[in-house]
Amino acid sequence: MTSTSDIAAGIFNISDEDYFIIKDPDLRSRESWLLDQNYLGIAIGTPRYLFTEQHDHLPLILAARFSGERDWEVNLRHNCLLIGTNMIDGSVRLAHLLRSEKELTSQYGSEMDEKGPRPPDSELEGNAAQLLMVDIRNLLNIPWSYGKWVFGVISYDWLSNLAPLKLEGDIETDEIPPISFDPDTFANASANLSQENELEMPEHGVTFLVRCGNNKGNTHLIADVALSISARRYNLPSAQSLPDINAVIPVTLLLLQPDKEPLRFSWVVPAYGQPLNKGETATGRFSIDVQAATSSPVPAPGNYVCYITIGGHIFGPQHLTINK
Amino acid sequence: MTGRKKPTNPNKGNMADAKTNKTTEDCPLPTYKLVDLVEVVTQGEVKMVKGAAMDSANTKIFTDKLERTNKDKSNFKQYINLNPDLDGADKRNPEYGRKITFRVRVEQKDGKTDKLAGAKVVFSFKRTDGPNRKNPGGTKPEVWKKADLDGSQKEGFNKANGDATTTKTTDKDGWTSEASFYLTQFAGDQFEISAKLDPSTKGAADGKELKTAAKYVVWRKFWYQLTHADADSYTPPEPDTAKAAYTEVFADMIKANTKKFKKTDLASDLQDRTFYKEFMLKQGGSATKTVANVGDNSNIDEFKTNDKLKLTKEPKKHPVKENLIVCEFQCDPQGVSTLKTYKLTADNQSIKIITGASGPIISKPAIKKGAKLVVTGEWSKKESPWVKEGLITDANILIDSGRTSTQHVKIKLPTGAGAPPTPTTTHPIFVRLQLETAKNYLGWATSGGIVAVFRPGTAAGQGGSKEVYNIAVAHEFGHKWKMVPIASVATALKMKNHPYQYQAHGGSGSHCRHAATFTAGTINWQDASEKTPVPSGGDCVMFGHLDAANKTKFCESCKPYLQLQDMSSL
Repeated sequence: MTSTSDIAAGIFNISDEDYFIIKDPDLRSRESWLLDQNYLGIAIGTPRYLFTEQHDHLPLILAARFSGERDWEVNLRHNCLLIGTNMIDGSVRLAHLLRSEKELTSQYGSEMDEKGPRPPDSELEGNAAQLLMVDIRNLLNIPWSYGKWVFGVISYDWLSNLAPLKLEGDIETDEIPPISFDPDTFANASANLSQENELEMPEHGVTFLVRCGNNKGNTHLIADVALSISARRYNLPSAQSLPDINAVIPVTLLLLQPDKEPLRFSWVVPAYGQPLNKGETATGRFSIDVQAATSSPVPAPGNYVCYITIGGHIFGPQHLTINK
Repeated sequence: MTGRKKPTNPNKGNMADAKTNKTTEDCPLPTYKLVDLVEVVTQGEVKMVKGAAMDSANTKIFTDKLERTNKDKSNFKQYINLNPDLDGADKRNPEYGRKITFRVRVEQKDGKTDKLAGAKVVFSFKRTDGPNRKNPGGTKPEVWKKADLDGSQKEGFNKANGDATTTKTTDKDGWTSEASFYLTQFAGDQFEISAKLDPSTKGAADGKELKTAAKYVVWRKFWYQLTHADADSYTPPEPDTAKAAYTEVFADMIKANTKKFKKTDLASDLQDRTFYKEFMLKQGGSATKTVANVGDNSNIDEFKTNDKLKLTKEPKKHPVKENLIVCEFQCDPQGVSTLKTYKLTADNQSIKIITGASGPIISKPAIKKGAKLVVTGEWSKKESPWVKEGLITDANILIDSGRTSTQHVKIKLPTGAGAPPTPTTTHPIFVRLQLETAKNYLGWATSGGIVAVFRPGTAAGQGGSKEVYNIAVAHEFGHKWKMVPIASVATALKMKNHPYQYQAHGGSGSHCRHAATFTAGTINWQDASEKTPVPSGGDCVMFGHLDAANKTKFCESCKPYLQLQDMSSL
């Protein structure tokens, strides 16, 4: 099986400028190449550098190869979630990648696509390929000025490669303000945070486990996380922060089911220890009571896949069952 | 008037008379009585306006009598969003604009007419608050910053936010000069105008007061052109429940004209992309019934430029007007389908196109303007490695009226020289195929007008039914009226932010999630970058998408904003 990175290398072997001038026939020939690969999954490509004065949109090309069976179970259009991380401030933005522009701007929406009964096997056999170009600037409401972003796409239990982008534009500054967070939310998260769990500390990156726990007789989701990440500027606490905190880490947890709205939980986690500089490694373990920290109800019973995004990286999928 | 030594200042004279209980023999002032309180309009000449005010028999100063015709039960509508001088000052419409003008006539109680000039009359008003005003927002009172309207939104004599009373003096015929009253900007407010003699005028003591017999109610009015296809007797119904939704917020939605378009009215490429047999766009649709499609990247531009389809503007007659385009389908191109290799074991074999990210409708011709249906079409005797041996074109794609889904097509392989052999189970033919697709929507507000889908015979509550059609019409016009107000719109109205307004989360534009539920998680409803979660179960007509709970009404939170909207232009 060909890897996602090989597929990305094979399809997105184009210059940054090519993203703006590539024509349909070229996309179609790359689609034919993709159809002939031994691959199932999704890959994405975007320009790595973009000058905001020269372009007014941000193209992202999605390449997908999937079986008819997969498309019936996890339809590509209904289950592609775009995740953009602003690497200047650590914020995470989500959007349905393939809800058409018309669907997003239509004031009354579209008729629902009925999934209907499972088609006969003969209609589901074989594999299909698809290449699509999407303008994600408006989709994620990306400020059109200096910025650094990392994009990824999730289709239920499929995760794409990550695509970094540097926007070259006005308002370039090294004076990035420290991470902004709501003190109440921060305090709420801290109050429901344990600094211990039994996860193995990764050499670099994140390991996590989302499980069902018990809080005063009620089922709550508990996220155990062990992380070892390079501190970015936005992770470094301001001088006014609480004592002993050497990093503040925005964490987003996603729970997904096919054809359903993604569940998103976001909070900011403090890490304690000696002061850090940009680029130094922040390590830590924590377990957080998701419901208590975000004041949200427990998700409905069912099977989910979970992802955690930290610092532009997306970790997962991990399967989770919530029982009644 | 002979022997009058001090003809000026009757006020002073009368007060002195009252205190001393004697009359001034040298300057006897008559006792007056109020006779007429009339509404007037100046159309070059002064004319009386019958309706809420009195119908005076004394027409000496009036060249004509007009009559109000727009009633709100027993009261009269005043359309404040329309310019009274649309047709010019000499045709000024007294039912338009915020200003209404009154005059009062007095008589001398002694029956004489020699001293009619100089009597003073005080005009005043009484307001009955319109719904949603002082109980702002029903159970959600957060919409109002304070109990009253703000600044120029208020009523008053002589100007908006003007005086509580105004005093006018009679002329030699006993008529006062004009008293101008400005209604509020809040639709539904009712006003009663009254007049009585100024205390300084003799006769005031009997306390007699004249009142308008009916009230003036603040309303707005807008028009639409109904545009639809002239095919198979298609006649969309009047959007009566949409109109009723606007009636609840005191706005009349009125059809100005109808335009019907035929196939030949369209550019040649668009004729067959506008008029389809129903099965082409709908699962199980009729093979004989012709339906019309209006869509983006298809034919919507025709409704902006083609005289036979576009809005007929009537700035003097119907200044606030929109084109309401009603059709059976509102399909847009939805990209090309997945590229897939299909195995054929017979000619004319039916295949189902894998959807992937594309739309669920395959039609012939494709919906997309100028496009062929087949984007990629090749055949080969071997699946792998792929070697193209010939082409599949639009001519090889058949769409059967009995197909089991709108993604099914039949492939009739090419014939003649270089054609593939007839496929069999043992010697299949492989076809690599990719087609243009489409997707159907229910409503859409564009610069060319409002598009709303109505399909006769559709079950209630389903897309295209009369119910959903009415919701779409009310919803789209709602957007034209800046609903649901974003913060800047609410601020401009001097109101608080709408408590249920949300951005994105399943669409773009601003919607209302009144009574809606949503999945757990961290949510910023104002963040246009947050597309998720999508709420469900909203009961307001301004909810972001079709939902079983939708009603063709504005919710209690939306209504006050609509009632305060300036509907002077679309």
